[in-house]
Amino acid sequence: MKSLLLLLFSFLLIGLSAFRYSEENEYFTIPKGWPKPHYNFKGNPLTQAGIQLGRQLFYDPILSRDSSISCASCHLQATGFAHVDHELSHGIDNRIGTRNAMALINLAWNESFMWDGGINHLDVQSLAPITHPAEMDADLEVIVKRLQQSEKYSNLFQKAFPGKPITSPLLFKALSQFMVTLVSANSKYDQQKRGEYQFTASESKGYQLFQQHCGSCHREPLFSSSTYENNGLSVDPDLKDIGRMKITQDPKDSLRFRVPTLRNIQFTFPYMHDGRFQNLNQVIRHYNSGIVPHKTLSKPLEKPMRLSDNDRVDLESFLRTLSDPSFLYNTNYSYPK
Amino acid sequence: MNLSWLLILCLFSQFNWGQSAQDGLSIQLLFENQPLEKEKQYITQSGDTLTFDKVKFYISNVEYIDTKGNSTTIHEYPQLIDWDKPESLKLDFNSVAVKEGWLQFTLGVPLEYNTNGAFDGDLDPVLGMYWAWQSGYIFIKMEGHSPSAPTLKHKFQFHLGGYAGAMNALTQVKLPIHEQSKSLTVDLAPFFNAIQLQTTPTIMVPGSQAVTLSQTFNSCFRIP
Ligand code: HEC
Ligand code: HEC
Repeated sequence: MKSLLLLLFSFLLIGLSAFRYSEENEYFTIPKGWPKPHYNFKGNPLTQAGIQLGRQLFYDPILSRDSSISCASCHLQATGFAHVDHELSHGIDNRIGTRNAMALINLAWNESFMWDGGINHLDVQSLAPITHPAEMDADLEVIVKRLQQSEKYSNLFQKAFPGKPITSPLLFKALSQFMVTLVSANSKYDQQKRGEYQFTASESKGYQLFQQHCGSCHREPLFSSSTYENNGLSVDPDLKDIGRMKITQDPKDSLRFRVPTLRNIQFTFPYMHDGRFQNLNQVIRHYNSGIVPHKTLSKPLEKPMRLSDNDRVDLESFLRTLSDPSFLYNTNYSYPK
Repeated sequence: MNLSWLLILCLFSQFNWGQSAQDGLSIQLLFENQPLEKEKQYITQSGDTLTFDKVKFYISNVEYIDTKGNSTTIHEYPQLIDWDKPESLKLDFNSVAVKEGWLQFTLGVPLEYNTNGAFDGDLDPVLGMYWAWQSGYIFIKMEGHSPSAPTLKHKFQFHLGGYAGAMNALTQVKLPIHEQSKSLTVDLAPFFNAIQLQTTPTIMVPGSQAVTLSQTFNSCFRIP
């Protein structure tokens, strides 16, 4: 009886230690003062082998049907993993061409993905770019087979997920492991918060204006939010992108889009879901004097901002304090050697 | 000592000592009581002529409920029934002794699998049952051709699913079953009799139409 109890007790201990895993480990730390990430790390514990596998996959055109493009073709590190070139890529559903590639920054905090929030989990996000809807059945299967037949990936998957055959959920988990490590938290703004940097007069004024006019949607410290808002853009007559309503089919969601992050915004041009603005000056002009009234226009934008020329300069210099060179040039995120 | 006896008892109760007459049901796809065949033309009551290419759907949370109302789980994890894969056309009782009572299951993939990333086995997205641009599993997929469908190559495509709020397309099926039951039939005729391919040739997104059509598909099941 005693030995049985002991056995049960030790099982309990083993069980407990397995559950002690928290969000933070040596590969992922929550920056001071930031909220808890949304990503479920328990379902996909980060390991060095997993992150490196994800990184290899992210940069490898093996994931496209004709082995021509990789994730990095549209998500370039030096531009905050956004796409500077706005042209349609070959071999991929034209749906991609209708939206501007998003920056990949602090994804572990995202509650949903894509401009319309249609994707609810980072682990299924990769399905969208990899598969071609019309031929979905074949494509992903072909890619998984391709990985299974590759000696390089057989080894890398074995290291990352020992004893398991290569499957699509593991492919997605590996990509997620790499993507959640893309944390940007060392901009001038962050340094100022930590007392390591002093805003210039213009940046400081810009920060005030930002808090007054922009911060309710682009919420600190992530400069995004998981709400869907209509920020007063005119509807492009060709694209007719209705945004969130496409997902919910609720007219109240017409022309609402997810509030994107503004971190590294200086480098993630062109701006908005359709990439209509080339620079921040145009963006600020839009908010100041270009808001198009609409039934679903978000409240904070109903009243004109009446920013002076100086205000606009200051606001832009604040936005530039969100640039984080230690993110944009972090060698852990770059093309693997 | 009591505890270890309990443990042993628990272990033994996992085994099924009784001999059940059946170890499962074969799943038969039909059109107006005739086995569904590739390239065969069918005519619906609404006047459409059609042929089928693909029929795939999920059943989950399969339970046997006896005449006293006690329910036993047969399997919870979603099972993909795929016309193209004969080995999938079987509902295994997993050693549950099925006698007089009801067979109950969910038609579709329950919420938790639609919101927690990708799953493996029958839920592996390589099986073509996951939407790419909008998260969630496709519960029911039927594709084929009909001259009535005003689409490219006269293709009809029904990808039915949806788990969120008013777009929830999950339904329950509950059918009387007895010891001699051998098959679960899915007759597609009532589904296609209820629609017109001229006006409804494709449903590819969650929404009210997908909800209605899932309910219609639900009425195709029988245990003869
Ligand atoms: C052809 C260009 C292209 C390729 C290749 C591409 N993406 Fe994207 N990516 C986009 C576009 C466009 C969006 C926004 C789509 C939308 O909202 O409909 C996006 C959005 C995303 C998002 C959502 C970010 C957010 O904040 O919601 C993630 C994550 C992502 N891509 C990861 C990847 C991964 C991983 C790969 C490789 C498997 C990849 N992308 C390949 C263009 C691309
Ligand atoms: C009512 C909420 C709201 C307010 C207030 C708001 N924004 Fe936005 N912002 C959004 C939404 C939603 C988008 C995405 C719109 C789209 O692409 O359709 C966006 C997009 C942007 C983008 C483009 C991001 C990218 O990656 O393309 C920039 C830059 C931006 N906002 C800056 C600002 C500034 C500066 C202010 C204050 C002057 C501001 N926003 C105020 C909701 C808001």
